[in-house]
Amino acid sequence: MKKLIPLLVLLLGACQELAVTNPNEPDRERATKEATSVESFVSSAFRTWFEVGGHNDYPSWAFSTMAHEITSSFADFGQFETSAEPRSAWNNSPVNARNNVAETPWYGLYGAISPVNDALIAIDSGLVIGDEDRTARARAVGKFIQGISHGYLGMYFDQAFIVDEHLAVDTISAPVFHPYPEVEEAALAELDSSIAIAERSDFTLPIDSWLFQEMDQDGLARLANSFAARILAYTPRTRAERAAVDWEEVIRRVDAGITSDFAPVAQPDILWDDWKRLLARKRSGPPSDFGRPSNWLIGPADSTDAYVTWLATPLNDRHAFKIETTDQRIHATGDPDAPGKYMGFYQANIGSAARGTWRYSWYYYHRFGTGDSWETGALPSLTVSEMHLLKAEALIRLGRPEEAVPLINETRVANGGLPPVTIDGPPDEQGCVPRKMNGDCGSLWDALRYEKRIEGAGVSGITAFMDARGWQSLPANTFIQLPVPGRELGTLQLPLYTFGGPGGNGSAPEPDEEACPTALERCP
Amino acid sequence: MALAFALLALAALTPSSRAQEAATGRITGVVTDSGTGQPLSAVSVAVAGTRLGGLTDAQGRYSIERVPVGTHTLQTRRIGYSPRNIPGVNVTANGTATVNIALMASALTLEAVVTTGVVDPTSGTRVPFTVGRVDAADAPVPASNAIETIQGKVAGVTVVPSGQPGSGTNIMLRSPTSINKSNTPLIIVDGVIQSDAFGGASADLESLDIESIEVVKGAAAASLYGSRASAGVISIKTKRGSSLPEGPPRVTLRSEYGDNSLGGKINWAKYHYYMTNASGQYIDEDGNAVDRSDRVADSVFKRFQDNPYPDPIYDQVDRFFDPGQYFKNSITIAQNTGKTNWLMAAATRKDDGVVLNSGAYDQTNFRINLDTRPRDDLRLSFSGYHNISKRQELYGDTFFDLINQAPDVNLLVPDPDGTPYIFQGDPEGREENPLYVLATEDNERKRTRTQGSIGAYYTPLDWLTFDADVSYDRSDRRVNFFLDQGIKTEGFGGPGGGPGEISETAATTDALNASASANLIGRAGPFTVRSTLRALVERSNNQVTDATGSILATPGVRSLDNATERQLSSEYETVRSTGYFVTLGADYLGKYIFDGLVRRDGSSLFGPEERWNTYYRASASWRMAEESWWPFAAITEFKPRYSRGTAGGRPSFADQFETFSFTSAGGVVKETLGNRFLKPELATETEIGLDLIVKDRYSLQITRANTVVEDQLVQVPLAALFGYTSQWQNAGTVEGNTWEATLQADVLRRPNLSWRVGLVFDRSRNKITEFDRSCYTTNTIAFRCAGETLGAMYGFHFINGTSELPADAQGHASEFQRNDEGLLVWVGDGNSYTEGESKKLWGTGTTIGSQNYQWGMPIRQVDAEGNAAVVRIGDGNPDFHWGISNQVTWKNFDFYALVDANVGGEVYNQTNQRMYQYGRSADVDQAGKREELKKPVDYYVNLYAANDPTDYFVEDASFVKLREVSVRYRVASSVIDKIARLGVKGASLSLIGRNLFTSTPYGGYDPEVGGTIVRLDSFDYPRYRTITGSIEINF
Repeated sequence: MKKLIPLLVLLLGACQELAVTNPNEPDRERATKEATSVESFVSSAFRTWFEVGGHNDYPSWAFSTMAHEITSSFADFGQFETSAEPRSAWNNSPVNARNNVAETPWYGLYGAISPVNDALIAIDSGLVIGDEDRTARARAVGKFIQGISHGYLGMYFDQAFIVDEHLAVDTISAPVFHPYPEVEEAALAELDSSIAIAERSDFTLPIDSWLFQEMDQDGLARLANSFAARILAYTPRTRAERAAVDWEEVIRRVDAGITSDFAPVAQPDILWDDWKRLLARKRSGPPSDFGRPSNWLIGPADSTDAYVTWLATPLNDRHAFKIETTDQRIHATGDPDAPGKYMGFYQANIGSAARGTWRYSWYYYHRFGTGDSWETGALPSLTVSEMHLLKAEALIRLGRPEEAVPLINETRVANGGLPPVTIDGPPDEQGCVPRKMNGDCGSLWDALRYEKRIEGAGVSGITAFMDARGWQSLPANTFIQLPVPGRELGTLQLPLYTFGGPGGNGSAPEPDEEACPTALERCP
Repeated sequence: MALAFALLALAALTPSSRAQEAATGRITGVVTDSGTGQPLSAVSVAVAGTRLGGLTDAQGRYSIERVPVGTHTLQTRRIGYSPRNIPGVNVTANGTATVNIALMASALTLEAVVTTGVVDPTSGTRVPFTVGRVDAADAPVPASNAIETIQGKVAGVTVVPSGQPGSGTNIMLRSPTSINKSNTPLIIVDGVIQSDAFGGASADLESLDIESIEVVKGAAAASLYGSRASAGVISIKTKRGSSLPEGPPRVTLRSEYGDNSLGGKINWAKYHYYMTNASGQYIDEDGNAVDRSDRVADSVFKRFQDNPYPDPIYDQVDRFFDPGQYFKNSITIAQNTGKTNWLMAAATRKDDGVVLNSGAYDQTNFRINLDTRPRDDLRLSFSGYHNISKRQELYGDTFFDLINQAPDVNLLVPDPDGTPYIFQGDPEGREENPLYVLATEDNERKRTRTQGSIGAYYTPLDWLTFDADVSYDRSDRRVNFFLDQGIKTEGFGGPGGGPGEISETAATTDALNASASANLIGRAGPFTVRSTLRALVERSNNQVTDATGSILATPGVRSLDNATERQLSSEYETVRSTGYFVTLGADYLGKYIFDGLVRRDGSSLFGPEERWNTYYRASASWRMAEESWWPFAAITEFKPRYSRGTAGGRPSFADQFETFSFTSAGGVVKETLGNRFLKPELATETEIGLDLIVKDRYSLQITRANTVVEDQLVQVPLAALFGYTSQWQNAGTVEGNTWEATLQADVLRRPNLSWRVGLVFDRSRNKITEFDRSCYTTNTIAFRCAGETLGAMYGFHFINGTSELPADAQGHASEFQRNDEGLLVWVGDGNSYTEGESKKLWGTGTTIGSQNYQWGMPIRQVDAEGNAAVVRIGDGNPDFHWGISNQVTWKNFDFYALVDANVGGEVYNQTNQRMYQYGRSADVDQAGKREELKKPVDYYVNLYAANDPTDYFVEDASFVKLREVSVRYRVASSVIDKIARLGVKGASLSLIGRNLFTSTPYGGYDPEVGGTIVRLDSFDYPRYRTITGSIEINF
């Protein structure tokens, strides 16, 4: 009996199985073998993209404030550091507390691409998701996600990896960076692949997942073309590069693009637009307490000289001011105190004076609602007006400004209640909108830029910046693109580099936005 | 459990070995105090080399039956007395040997019996490694958190208490052992391994239950606990009836009552920087008097915070914090009948903390401990504990919202919605009044903890014992949050309030640990040999379910069904481990002591390819004073010792797995790339030391420990194209060393006066010596990099001299000056930093090379690439700790005081930094300064640096703290005699103080803030002081 005791002791431990599974998340094998989970890789990828595609805090706040679209003196999402004037170089150190300005879109966009690639590999290996059309849907949306992700990588960063289902990621020891024109090229090819698959298939996308807007294969193809137009127009870093865009191709893409706004429908905790939420946030004090329409955005609509005076005042002596305008988007007609369609007047400052009273704005933003309205309902993300104004820019650049006029007047008249522009610009009269920085009445080019800025504000947090670098309206020494994040460089044991700042690489030149791309009236 | 019953059955079937013995006798006698001559109860008297023995009764009598014929040595043990060996006790057949023993009072911890880290209870003098120990008698002030009992009393212990009552505590032994994983030691209570799967687990324990705590500080001693012990082990024994003399049940009632109060304060600004007229009214740029909401900041060149507020101002610290009550009642009933002893204890505590009307904590617990010997060769032991607690949770931004309140905001005026505190007292609406939020949120945490262990010890032969035990630890936690519709919230500050929110979190953790062993102890000539073979199993589960709902349909309905938007999440983890170990200990004549151990551990937490790992320990010591040639009669113990051992630190549950994470509604995101080769962190510690006892009154223990912890569990980032963000790898080494000294002295020992002093000292250093990934910052200030310490703070540096200017500005050095704070600032040619106002220079700037410089503003150091340089700005590791405890007994009074100190070590004061953002810190006030030295708020906002860590907010956190004080009066026996008919056998009155006084240069509430490694003061619940009175009555 005594001999049994040590045996019992040993058996006590020996009978226990030590391998356990993780019941909380699927592993790679489980995830890539099942058709439903492979499909979910694709159907849930857009929401990953959406956040870093201009609809969450990074990089929207940095880009929007750098572009003088929105003003904010908070530092939460890197906006304070990046929009401080005079502008400095971007601190690309991985230990910069605001490194998410670069890291979040970088890892977010690859986070959207990677599961899509897994799904496409599985499909290419013969996996059928339901039937042929359903499988084609996954392929078409997958290529679409690849395209918009690579496209935005090319817009944000000077270089990036091109990673699709044909790249054997597991065998790579030294990934290759491609300069942004090559990334843009890959993105357009992927979008074209998506369009081609869609055109030979028959499927629908439901409203509650995938792209969060109900559409069929034709709708997807149109959306892909519109994103292609964005990528074409917004990839350039400088005025010269913007001028060199294939604007005929932009027009082709716009014409083949959306015919109604792409507005994903928000669902709590699944997909929403935190950029819109914060822009409209009203806590317990003044509305728009996190960021406000900047004076540079709405100032050109001012019929008094407040904006002109403000511009002429040294930066640190500037304070907020009240404007009067006929643009109904800013205040109600004839009543500067009554709210307009997109924003309204509220005389209260937010933020610390010590972060610059020049950041103060007395205008709040309410176009997309306040409170919890951002949790449900449509979230305009890519609008017809944006596409039409891109086309208008293309037409001006191609020397066909008369064709641009009606496109500019679409929103100018309907939304702004402003008198239509002509090829010479807005009517040169008291209350001209927009005015130039010296107070003169603006040109057609000025009217286009004003219209695109005021219609685009709050739609996507990144487009104002993309326009500004191509229009040369960024403050001097603003970085014109992001470097590969310092964390990624460290991981790959590559040297740190950055852009922007006095004398730095990739620094914006002195602004010169009123210079027109072609000969127009009232252009300097 | 099954094995325990098997052992019981085995015991029932095995004939008593005692029955087979022949020729025995009896030893009996009385044990007394050598100083007072009074009989001593509860003294353990044992026959050396056997398992025969017993306890003395209330009259000091003992009797040991069936002692084999021969000459024996008796050994005595009792807390507070030096152990004695009485050799040459001759026992004859059926005879009675009478041995009366006088014991010398002493409380040298070094001599106390050690049970942790060793297999068999062993006198401390025979243990070849360091085991710290605190007995209940050394802790007359029950700690708020039971684990904190050892603070200041054991060398090598770092404790950073949490502020809010009912919280866990932060504890570290010696130097840190892990870069990413827990540095908290394994905690065991009566053999129950405490779960570490949830936060604040130690808060569930009851400090009044503690009989003793043993602290095994590192791998050199803790190898017995294998892959969970790299950070050391703390083992708590609770009180049992076995310490009582045989007799009727004894009842002890204790009641403690008193107040909490904030010990330190933070200083609030009292001035503003807005334009005012001669009457002090706010004005606009045209000089018109305006409301507060329309006030205009003064021009940048004179934006000094030196204008008195036109309205009354308040000390927001005084208004937010409020002395809360503290009370604790307990009853203990215990009895020792010889064969059986038991103890039942119940305690209830209510602690209001220090926040006005919020954050109260209630705890009730019940314990039962039982030991019984149904046969001479069989002992059964049972421990059970149940704890229920309830706490009002404070919301995350409570203290952040507080520091953002302007001084002219009256937090205590009622809100129009009827809440006693206004929601938004500041028209600028920056942050809400935390008192409103606390008054309107129902946010309650409820916990229950149930623990039990059962052990069986069967000794069929004098030299052989089998034992088996099973322990169970279960924690149930619920957090219920309800914010009614119509309550104002951050996003809904208007009269209609917000849409409401509700959430329920339910979490359960249960752990079952079992072990069985065979223990051999025997003598072979001059050798005493101990050996154990043990197997252990562990099964634990942790499950969390969370349900959240928002936008309530109907006010007042506290059901998730009432929420129109709902989200659910759950998480389940299970851990299984198996371990085996064998030990072999031997000593030669009690002088040369050897100890060895090998343990093999398998765990589900390790990767499939690294499922099993092996640990070992080898130790030796030499009790030189036992040698016949020892020349120093006064030195009764002189023991050099050496121990080397290994122990592990385990990965977390998910670390080995390749995971795709679900987001809501079926979203999938790649997360961690799995690692089949993940193995535990491996700590190897070498400890050398010397134990010394002089005249049985003074003991000194000096130890040097070196620890190398390899295979650090490091989360290595992956390049973006892989899709997975990171992978856990074994990719680093941390090394540490510690000097420790413990001195105890019975300074005075007279019948009516005694004085004991304990002094502990430790000095630790650590460094990451290997790190196979790029350096990174974490937790705001912490920096992980090869060659750096754990505790180092990194951030930005404001330069102090022109040599620190970037190369492209060196040629302009004459344009820079050091200001009166020692910071280098750009002033331009021909200007002085004092001329900012007079020349209207504040607010101007220049560009030199690649950098922009603002006039008079602190300048961040930049690296060669022009990036703001991240440099070492401080270190949270103190230079050394010390603690002194004094216990003085004079007649019927017992006096106790514990003073301890951190010397060196810094804390990052992020609380004060955030107070610079809106000029809330008193540092920003310029009133009373010479005009030319005044600085605009812009200067302080520049120092605030958008909340980036900078060297400006690193503060010396050294302190000397009067941590514990008690004065106890034992009611005179003449008084007790008069009320004896009520059954009263004793009574005492005490005055108790906790965290009474702190001397420190630190500017925050208390320098004990943050964690043990990351010393960050970030809007935490502040430490507070408690002063109470207590009464204890014994029946």
